[in-house]
Amino acid sequence: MDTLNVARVRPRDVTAAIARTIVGQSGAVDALVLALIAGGHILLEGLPGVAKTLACRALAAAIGGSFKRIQFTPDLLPSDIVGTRIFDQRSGEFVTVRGPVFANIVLADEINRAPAKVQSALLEGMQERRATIGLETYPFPTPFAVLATMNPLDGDGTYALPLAQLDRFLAKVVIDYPSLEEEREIVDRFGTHDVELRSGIASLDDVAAWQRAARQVFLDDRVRDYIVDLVRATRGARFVEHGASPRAALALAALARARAYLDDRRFVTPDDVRDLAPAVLVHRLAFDYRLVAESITPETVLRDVIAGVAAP
Amino acid sequence: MAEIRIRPFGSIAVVVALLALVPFRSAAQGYPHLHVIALSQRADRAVVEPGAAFHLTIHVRIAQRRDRLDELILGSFDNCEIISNETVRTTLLDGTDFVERLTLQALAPGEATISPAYIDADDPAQGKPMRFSSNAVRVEVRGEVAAVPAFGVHVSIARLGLAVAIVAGLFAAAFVGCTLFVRRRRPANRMPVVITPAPAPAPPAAALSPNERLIRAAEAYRSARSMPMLMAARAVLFERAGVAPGATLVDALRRLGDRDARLRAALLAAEDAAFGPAAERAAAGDALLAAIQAYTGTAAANQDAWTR
Repeated sequence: MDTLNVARVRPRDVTAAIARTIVGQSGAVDALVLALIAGGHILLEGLPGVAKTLACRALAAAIGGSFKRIQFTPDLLPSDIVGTRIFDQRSGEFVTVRGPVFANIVLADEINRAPAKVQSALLEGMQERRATIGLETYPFPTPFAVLATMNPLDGDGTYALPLAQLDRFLAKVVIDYPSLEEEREIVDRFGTHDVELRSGIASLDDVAAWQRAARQVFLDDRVRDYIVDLVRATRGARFVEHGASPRAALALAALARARAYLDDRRFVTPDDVRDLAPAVLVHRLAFDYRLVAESITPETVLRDVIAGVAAP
Repeated sequence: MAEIRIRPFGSIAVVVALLALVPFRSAAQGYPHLHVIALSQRADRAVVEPGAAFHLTIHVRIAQRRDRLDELILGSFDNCEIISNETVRTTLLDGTDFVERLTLQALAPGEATISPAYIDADDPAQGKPMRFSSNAVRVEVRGEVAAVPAFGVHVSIARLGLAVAIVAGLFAAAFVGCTLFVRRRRPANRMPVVITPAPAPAPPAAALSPNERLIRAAEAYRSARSMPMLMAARAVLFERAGVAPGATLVDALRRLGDRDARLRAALLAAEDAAFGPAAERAAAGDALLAAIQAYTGTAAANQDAWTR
């Protein structure tokens, strides 16, 4: 497929560059690049200090894109994100000031700390890829990816995202603690030196070429059916009150194509689907009370659902 | 490695035996310690014709290592009946995988339903008795039943003729059976009978060695380059790697480890041929056949069969 070679550099060059900045977390880094290729947004979950922000900054630098970080707080307003019109005394006219959402990579830090109207403003922009300020509508730059974090520990004073809004995130990625060796290397590497971001590894045009090429990756009918079977299996599964939507099937197909492209393959395999299914599905399911009552994790339920669907 | 047992009508016996055990288990309250990770069943056809065969695959994964799974209670089979069954057991690092493959025959037009299979067990993960149930399966039975037209005098005559033919056939079969019985019991000092040598019947699949089965599957795919043949060859490769149907390439490679580079190459080639773009499937199929040939080591012995 010629389109695979249109881009000047390969996505793996970007993941390699980020890996030189961030110690470990290769799965999370791959997930960020996959979301970029698939043109989606990612929900990041991890404790403070596990390099969530650094990973996003490193990604933006590697593709030569702009990066903005928004710290969500209870007193945040939609105009703080999208932008507003202010009166310029010199010109005597109202001018538009675009908010931090106008960037290639937007880190929405602790998205569940802001009230619903602010969350809605961001999530609407994520879907439409544009925002209206005053009477004018402005498109977001391309590529555009929102990487939203949620701290799993501090639940007090937070506003849980409704399932309909969580459904807009392509996948949920959990960034865990580094291993012992990785933690030692973190101390060695960053204890004496500032963090060095490797910028300009790829260009925004390269990213656009990756996105086009990934959409052409072949998806066999049986693999497509496997995707649909997995999504449908979540409906009516034990402990699951509401299963995944058809949007989940679209997201799984898009991410599977992106992964095949990332691995220099021209077609999606059942392994792509099965490996990505937990990240795509876990945040889209609503579980019933028995899950908590019986101390079962959503991941366990999902693992059983996936194990119950035979791969082609 | 997966163990295959083919037991014609075995499922019926298993169902009867297990149903007989249920009251005993309930009364004794002595469920086996078993954690069921997955229990599902699926049919390979959504629509079948009356009288046609289809397959029901029941997949059970448990967290324990077991040689057999007598606790599995099959559901009821409505508008279909069991023809045969096959069990594949795969021992995993953290449990056991059982795949029960039933061949069923659809009966009348309408819907064939298989109610959920289940396992009653004392779940060590929960610390209490649990019933693990699978999903139900529905298959649409659509089409005409091959039957005698049911009207008029002609019908009566046709039915009468059919009945006479059946009775005559039964008598003939009884006569042949009695004759054979008497001949077998007679002493061996009878006249030699000249029998025209007939080609040896093909041995059943279970009697073939794994390599022979793989060669046979590859030859079938070579002669008919269809997707079912390809998937059949891939299934034998997966079995050689030690994984059950429903597993993926990564499962097979992980199970294989560094043991056999040629089988690894054949598995990778099968993945390309099975899921690659249609335009590249012919070349991928050639590569698969070459990889299987290299793996089975039949280059010298079966050169003719393998050469285009």
